[in-house]
Amino acid sequence: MSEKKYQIPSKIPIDGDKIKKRREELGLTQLYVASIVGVTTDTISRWENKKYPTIKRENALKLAKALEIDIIELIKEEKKQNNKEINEPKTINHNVANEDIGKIDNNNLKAKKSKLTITKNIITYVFLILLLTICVSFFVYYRRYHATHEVINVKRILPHYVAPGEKFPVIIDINIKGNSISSLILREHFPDSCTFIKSIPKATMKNIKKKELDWIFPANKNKIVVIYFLKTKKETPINKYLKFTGNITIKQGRYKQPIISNTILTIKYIHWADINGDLKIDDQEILTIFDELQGIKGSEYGKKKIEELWAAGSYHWDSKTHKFIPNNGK
Amino acid sequence: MANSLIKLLIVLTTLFIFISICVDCYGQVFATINYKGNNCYQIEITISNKGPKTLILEAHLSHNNYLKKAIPSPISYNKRRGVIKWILSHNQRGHISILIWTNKSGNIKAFLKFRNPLTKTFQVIYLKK
Repeated sequence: MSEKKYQIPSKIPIDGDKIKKRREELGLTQLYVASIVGVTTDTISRWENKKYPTIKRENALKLAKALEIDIIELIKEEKKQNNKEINEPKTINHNVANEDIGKIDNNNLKAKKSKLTITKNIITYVFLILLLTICVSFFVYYRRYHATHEVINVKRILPHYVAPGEKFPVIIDINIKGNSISSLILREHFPDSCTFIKSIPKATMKNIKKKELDWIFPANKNKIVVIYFLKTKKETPINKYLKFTGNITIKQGRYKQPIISNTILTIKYIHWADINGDLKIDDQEILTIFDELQGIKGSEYGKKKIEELWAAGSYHWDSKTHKFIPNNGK
Repeated sequence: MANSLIKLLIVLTTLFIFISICVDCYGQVFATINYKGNNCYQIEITISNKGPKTLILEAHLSHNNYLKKAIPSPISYNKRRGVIKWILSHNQRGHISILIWTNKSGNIKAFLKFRNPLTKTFQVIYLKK
């Protein structure tokens, strides 16, 4: 009879029915078997009633001895059928039939791996569901927020400086987000020291005495740009700040929003296109102005003069002619 | 199932990155400078859809090389420094062609300046022939 060295797993799956049947065949009591194995009668009862699916290797060997059967007979059928591989041994001499037992460890490992994979999958599912929930919540919140609160984004773009007696543009940029907006009214009040020249589009209502301009826009627009041109009075004192006020009103006065300026407009001997006030119209400044005023006729905002000052590199204010003169050749 | 979801997530991420790149390319400008013979140089500028509307072109002529003629006419020409400047507003097709005739052939450098319509940042393209 050939003997081989096999590995017996530390935990062995047992068949409770077989144990009970064999014990009864031999006419043994649970107490007797318990005393042989070295466990309590409760433990034997639990093994027989399949409350413990596996038992320790030592106990399994003792139980097999007590029941006068081979250990293989205690193992569950389905486990036996699955056994195929044998690994390196933990030395024990046994019957060839026991070679299947060694493979149970591998199956246990596989079962553990399978459990681990399932756990990983569950974690992945939970993570993805959580991610999806966050995305959906963010989307819903964003939509609601924009539909009720941040409907209109409006700003007044003013030049930083303007010289006395010079013409300059004021841009009102309105961005409407969401679809719940009805028609709107734009109302602007310009300073007393300025005179109105022109607006694009044309103002719906003008009150020159009150220095007030009104526009009404239909609801079907997401972006509105209004440009109006003013001229400062020649007698306006230098370093004076010009104050602009205005607001937008939505139909039936349900919503009113003030218009905030990007800067404070100061009276100085600086061209309005000279954003940083360094008496030079540089490349960035001219591109910004031309991009902002694209679609407006050049003659309306003095495009040629700006080009002339830009090409010269620098300029100065001539108090006699009340004009900006390019510093050619300097 | 989980693997499929992960794959879907990867595909969506890739798509998002691709769209982001496309959006970033929004408003690109391409420019070339070529010698046409007979002391004539051509600068060709192509602006992709919704690109910048206004551009500044600055051509620098080499020493002892001066401008005889240019189409369209420049805004300014500094003969001493050899700097020619244009402000260009492109047409519907976004294609601009500039011809420069000089007294002799030589090196010519050009700088194309514009504001990115999306990011509002100032950009410069350098050309040399």
